[in-house]
Amino acid sequence: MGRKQVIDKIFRNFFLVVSTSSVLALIAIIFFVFVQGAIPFFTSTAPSIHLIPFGINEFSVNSELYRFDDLPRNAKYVELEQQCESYSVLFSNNDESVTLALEIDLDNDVVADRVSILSSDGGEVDYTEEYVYEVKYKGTIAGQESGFYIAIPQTPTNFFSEFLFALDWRPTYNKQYGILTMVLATFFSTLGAVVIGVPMGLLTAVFLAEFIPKGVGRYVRAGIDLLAGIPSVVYGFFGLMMIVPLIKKISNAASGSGLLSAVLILAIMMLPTVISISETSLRAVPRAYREGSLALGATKMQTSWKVVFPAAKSGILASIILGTSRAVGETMAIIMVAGNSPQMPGRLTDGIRTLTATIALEMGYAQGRHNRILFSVGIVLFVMILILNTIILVLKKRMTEES
Amino acid sequence: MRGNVKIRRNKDRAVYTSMAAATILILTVLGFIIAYVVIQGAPGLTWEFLSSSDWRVGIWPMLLTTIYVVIVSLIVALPIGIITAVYLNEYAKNPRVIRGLRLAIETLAGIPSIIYGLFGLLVFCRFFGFGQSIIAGALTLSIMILPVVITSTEEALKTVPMSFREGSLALGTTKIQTIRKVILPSAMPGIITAVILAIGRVVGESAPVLLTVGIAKNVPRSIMDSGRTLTIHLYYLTKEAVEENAFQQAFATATILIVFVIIINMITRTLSRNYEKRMGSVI
Amino acid sequence: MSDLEGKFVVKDLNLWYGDFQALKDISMDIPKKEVIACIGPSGCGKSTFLRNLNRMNDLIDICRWEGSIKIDGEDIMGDIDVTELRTRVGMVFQKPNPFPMSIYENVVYGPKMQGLRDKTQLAEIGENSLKKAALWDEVKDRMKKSALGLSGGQQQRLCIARAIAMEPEVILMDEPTSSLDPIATQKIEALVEELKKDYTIIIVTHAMHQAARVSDKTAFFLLGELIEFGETYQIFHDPKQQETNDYIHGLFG
Ligand SMILES: Nc1ncnc2c1ncn2[C@@H]1O[C@H](COP(=O)(O)OP(=O)(O)OP(=O)(O)O)[C@@H](O)[C@H]1O
Ligand SMILES: [Mg+2]
Repeated sequence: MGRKQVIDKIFRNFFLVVSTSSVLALIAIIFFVFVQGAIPFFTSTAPSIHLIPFGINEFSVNSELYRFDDLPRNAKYVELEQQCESYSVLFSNNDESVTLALEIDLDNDVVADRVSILSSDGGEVDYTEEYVYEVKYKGTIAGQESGFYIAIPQTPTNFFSEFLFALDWRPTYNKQYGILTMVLATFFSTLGAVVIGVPMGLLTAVFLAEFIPKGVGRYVRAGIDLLAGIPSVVYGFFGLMMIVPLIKKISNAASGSGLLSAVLILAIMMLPTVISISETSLRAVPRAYREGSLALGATKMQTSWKVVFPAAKSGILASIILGTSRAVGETMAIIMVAGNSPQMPGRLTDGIRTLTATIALEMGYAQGRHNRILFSVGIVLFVMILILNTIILVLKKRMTEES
Repeated sequence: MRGNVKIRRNKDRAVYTSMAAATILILTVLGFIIAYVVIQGAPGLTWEFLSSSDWRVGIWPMLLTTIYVVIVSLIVALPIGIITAVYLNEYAKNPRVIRGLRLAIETLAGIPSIIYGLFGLLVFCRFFGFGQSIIAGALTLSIMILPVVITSTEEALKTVPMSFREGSLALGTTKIQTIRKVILPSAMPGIITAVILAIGRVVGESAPVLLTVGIAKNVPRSIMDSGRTLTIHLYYLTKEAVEENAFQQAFATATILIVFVIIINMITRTLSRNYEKRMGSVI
Repeated sequence: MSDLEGKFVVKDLNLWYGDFQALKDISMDIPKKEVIACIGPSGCGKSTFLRNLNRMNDLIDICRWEGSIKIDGEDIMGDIDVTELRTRVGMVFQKPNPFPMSIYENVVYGPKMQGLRDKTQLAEIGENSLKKAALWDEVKDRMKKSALGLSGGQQQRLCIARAIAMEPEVILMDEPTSSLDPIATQKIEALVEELKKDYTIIIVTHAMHQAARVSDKTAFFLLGELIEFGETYQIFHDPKQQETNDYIHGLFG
């Protein structure tokens, strides 16, 4: 083998290696999102109870001394291990020595009872947030309070009863992560968009493929391409400025942001996908079909709808599903017009919040399990899309077999 | 049978009318969106608006962030995308490998952008420690535009006639020489189209950018800084609307985006038309 | 190596596209510095045979062959690098296929790819090749213009110049004039006449009179078999085989 052959071979292998990056990327995406999103359903938020001081620098737990400044930077808490069931926390407040006595029972079914505060020496005990106790001591100056947060680890969330089929989404205080309303919101907004967008898209596609006068077609197609290129925030902006006020005026509802606005915007956004892919597959139908039908005395219209259209049905179906998956995945435009309240949509004008909107809106501030749960929401979305994608792949295969 | 002709014709006419109406309605909506935004936005497109680094007045920081994101993501995605396309079109023989690559590319193309955002946040922002930054966003988007680059480059490669490859190889060149000197240059207009499409995607993208690049309003000093792209700026202008002229600015920003899309569409159109003309004489 | 031995020695060449056998037991001695014409009805394997001589069939996945082909006594599948083989055995295709570059870039493409960088040397090679291909006068003022702007006949001569620039020993031509008009055809034929002083030329053609006019020896193929190979005059006036006779007198194909 000559030198040139060797160089060629090296390049060939190099190209192969680079080419696998798309496969690697796909695997990485699936892996990372799925692992991160699966954690809440399998593990507790922490292995132990956390004692988090505020306004206290020196304290001892069961006579072991801790200084706030010495705690590691990203973990300003003391872990209370499960083996030892009762703790006494000692510190000084206003030069008085204070003892906080706790008892721990992590196996208790009632979350609040996993920690019992035996005595607090005048501290004010609060259970404001589920999974978190607050023990507060007054300082010399009003507002300068000190004390502890006692964070109880959250047990694994049940995927079905506490996530997928649960109604309440109150992630910050109540740690409730039900996403059923969002699944339904995504479903209804997409369904609405399909109901409006698909018929319009298909009428246009057939018109473009079969009937449009020669010179005009180019410009119409350019318009459809343009429609596909407009960024989703611009659609959202238009919806917010135009459609939302219009709906508010017509319906007399408190706000125009809601299901109907979302449906209309999504319908417009899915049109280019439906039109261009359907048109392509309509054009791919062999001439012989058309001629055969026309020769039997059918009109051009009948030929188009009764012969050409059915012949292209795999591609048309694929275009509809692709449009659907675009609608399911759409984020920013929806956020801008849908109102975003996580509730069951009752009327067309009710605000809705889709799966995608939840991720985008809350990722900025979500902490701990809430943050991970947003990845779980991503998984749900991902699975929906993968199912739709698989259908498209099957249809595409059928298309190539047909032709 | 003859009696039906009239009924048939009326029916046909009704269907025709509804098809034409649907088409016209869609075009009207398009025209209306563009006109509505541009008419209200164009007066705001002053030099000060474009060039001021103060986010209350202008959008220079956002323009710069957007440009940075575009450049970095292209630097990453283009070589990988083009090499993958070349491999698929010129080298790959094993049908299992081809099928695997295609499946991956098609699946990547179908994943909604917000999922890319989640991935980028997890891997580039947190795992690699870039935090919310231009580089994290650009890396995220580079994976997202990979399918676009690959498929359009491949389309371009497919239009290069077999006779070019044969002609070059028959002169005793190696495959890689043929690819570099004949195939890629011949496919260049198509590859440029791919690049422009990718730029369009990156500029128009919002959800993953929000998660990975962030919302900082200052002029980014480097690609390690957080920033705010035009799309996210538009979103925040309407969301917060703190400044008096927020909506005026929003219209102007939306106008920039629309004009940009129109330009991109025109370029790709002209390119592909010229390309067809030129290659038409060879094939 | 003696001059008596052929440039190419082909022995028992069998070739398949998948299950379909396109060449059957071809054995042939191709002499030096002569023009050999390959004739035969469409699909008989002429192009396949020609493409095998410089291993262009390597590009076709389903193609596989056995037998031996030697160039100057050296096995083309042996130590010789395929790119080297192709620099020694140039090829001109049925349709002119200039690259979408300038005329100059087209001519010097081969030498450049071999690593020749010297500008004056390249220019010299370019000029000489174009002169040999009888194209120089027509293009010398537009060397930097795209080669795609040339006429079909000019493009084909450019492709010949491109092949010549490699200073090959053999030039394979697969129906080089089939897409050209009579005047361009005539020019190419004259060129072939001229080139055979320096090169061994193997030319596939459908035009019987072309074979008769330009070639010294003629090979007649039928259904993948080499029916007859001999002096052109003899093949056309006194064929030994019945099939050759039928073909030459237009009885089939
Ligand atoms: N790439 C290929 N794959 C499969 N079969 C092929 C291929 N190329 C050629 N063949 C078959 O091999 C046989 C010989 O083809 P070839 O092109 O050599 O014929 P030819 O004599 O050059 O014909 P023509 O005069 O029409 O050019 C034909 O039957 C053809 O169908
Ligand atoms: Mg042939």
